[in-house]
Amino acid sequence: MIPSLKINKLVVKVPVYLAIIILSVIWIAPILTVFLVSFKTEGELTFRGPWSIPELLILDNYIEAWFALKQYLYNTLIIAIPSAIASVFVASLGAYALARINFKVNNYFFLLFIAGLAIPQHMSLISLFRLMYRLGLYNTYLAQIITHIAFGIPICVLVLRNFFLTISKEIDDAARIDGCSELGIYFRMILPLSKAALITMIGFQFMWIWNTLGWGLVLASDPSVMPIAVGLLNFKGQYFIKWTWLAAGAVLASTTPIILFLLIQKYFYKGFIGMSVSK
Amino acid sequence: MLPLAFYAIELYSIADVIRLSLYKWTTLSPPKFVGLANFATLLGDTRIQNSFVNTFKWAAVSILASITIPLLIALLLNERLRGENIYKILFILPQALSGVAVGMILHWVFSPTYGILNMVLRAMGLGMFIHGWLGDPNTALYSLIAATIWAGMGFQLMIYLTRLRGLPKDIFEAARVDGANFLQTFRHITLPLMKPAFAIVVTMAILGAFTAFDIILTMTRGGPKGATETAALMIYLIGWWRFKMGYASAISVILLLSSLPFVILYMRMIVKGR
Repeated sequence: MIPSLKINKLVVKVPVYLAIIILSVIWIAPILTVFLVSFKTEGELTFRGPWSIPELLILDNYIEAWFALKQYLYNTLIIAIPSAIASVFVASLGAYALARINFKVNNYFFLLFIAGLAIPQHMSLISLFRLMYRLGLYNTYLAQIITHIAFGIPICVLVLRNFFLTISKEIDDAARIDGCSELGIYFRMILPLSKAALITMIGFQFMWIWNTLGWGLVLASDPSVMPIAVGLLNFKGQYFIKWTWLAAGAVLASTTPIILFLLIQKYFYKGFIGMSVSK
Repeated sequence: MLPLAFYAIELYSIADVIRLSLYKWTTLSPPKFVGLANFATLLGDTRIQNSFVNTFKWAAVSILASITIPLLIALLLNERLRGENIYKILFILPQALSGVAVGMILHWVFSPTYGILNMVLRAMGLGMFIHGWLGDPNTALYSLIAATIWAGMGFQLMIYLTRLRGLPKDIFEAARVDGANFLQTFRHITLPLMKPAFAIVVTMAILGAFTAFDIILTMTRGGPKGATETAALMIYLIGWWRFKMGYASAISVILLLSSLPFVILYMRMIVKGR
């Protein structure tokens, strides 16, 4: 109706689109480069550079990377799936207690968990190595699984507690009147209502665990239990550096978390509510 | 109680590392009590001190980046653009990559021969700035920090965006009626309301600096000339490559102590926030 308003809107929208498109091109360029390089031969890389479209879809790099990395990929699945699910489930129990039950000590417990979030994990590299060695768990999947669960708990508690606080207490009361026990409320009402937050957290935990290097370096020396991050690092150290192979290796190592990421991204918005409201 | 049981592992590990810092332990021989000798050695160890300086530089740059770049992008995305989801996915995608993979991917940005950065500089006629970004002690650290910002920004972006979307609309409406312009609204309404998001993002940035490790080990291993050695990297190098576990524990304790002010600050913000 008012033309000046329309022009005004256009004046705002065009630079916004321009800025966001430029920024997203910058953001995605490195990944595209690696993807292109992963299909090239060394010669093609030297003569035509990294950004030309590959002449043929050469899978040699992938075959080479697959044989070097497949054991590590398998190991990481074995480690990451139970760790991600267990840490979120265990943390959700704590988060529910912190969000709902009014213990006086609750605040202190909450602070204790938060402290764990802010303390740099790498300071525990040595003591964790020593603990697992003494327990006879060095070079086992279990050592890494336990560690990932333990260190995943603080962030999960924080996010899930904040999310649980957004669920109305009246739902609890209604369920209680209908004769539901505390645990019943938790399993029948709270967990289903928190599906998005739980899925987001499990997904993120999985990605973080998949990608973590430190614990794998110090809790294992045997390739049969090492995670993919260590495997990829070894792959780099193994040869006189062949960047086309490494590009394929980087793509292989990243495929699982990226697919997972694309699967869960529609839940992000709800899941992130737990992070952005601090109560 | 179950979460506490697992959490106890973390508390135990902190206690144990503090105890170990008082011992000389080379993994081959049993630990031997040496009192504060490790800390005395630290006082004269310029290489370790340098690694802490690098860690603080890392923290400073990451904090600055974390409260500007993702917030700017979140504000752009908050305009409800067409294809918003695609942009979001593009920005957050690097979050799904491991530090090792990020290191290998960013080789194609910083490499002197094939790097995107040098190519862009050349195309813009800024040829004099072209160099090996990771080989030069002056730029290596900042190149690595840029790599982590690239990889981790998506997460911070989502925190900001979720917060922005959750803000009550009537306040903005009221500001508009009162004739506040965009900058005034941003300065006096948006920014204060974004505080809880800032608290989380800044803590994550600091924590990221204190644990900066994966990318460094992949790309530079602390070089050139110790320019990219950080505290977390030194714990690993000294503990596992030089087998000085007691000394590495002492570094861990200092790392913990230097993170403590931020831990307390963060906890106070959380407590105040409710």
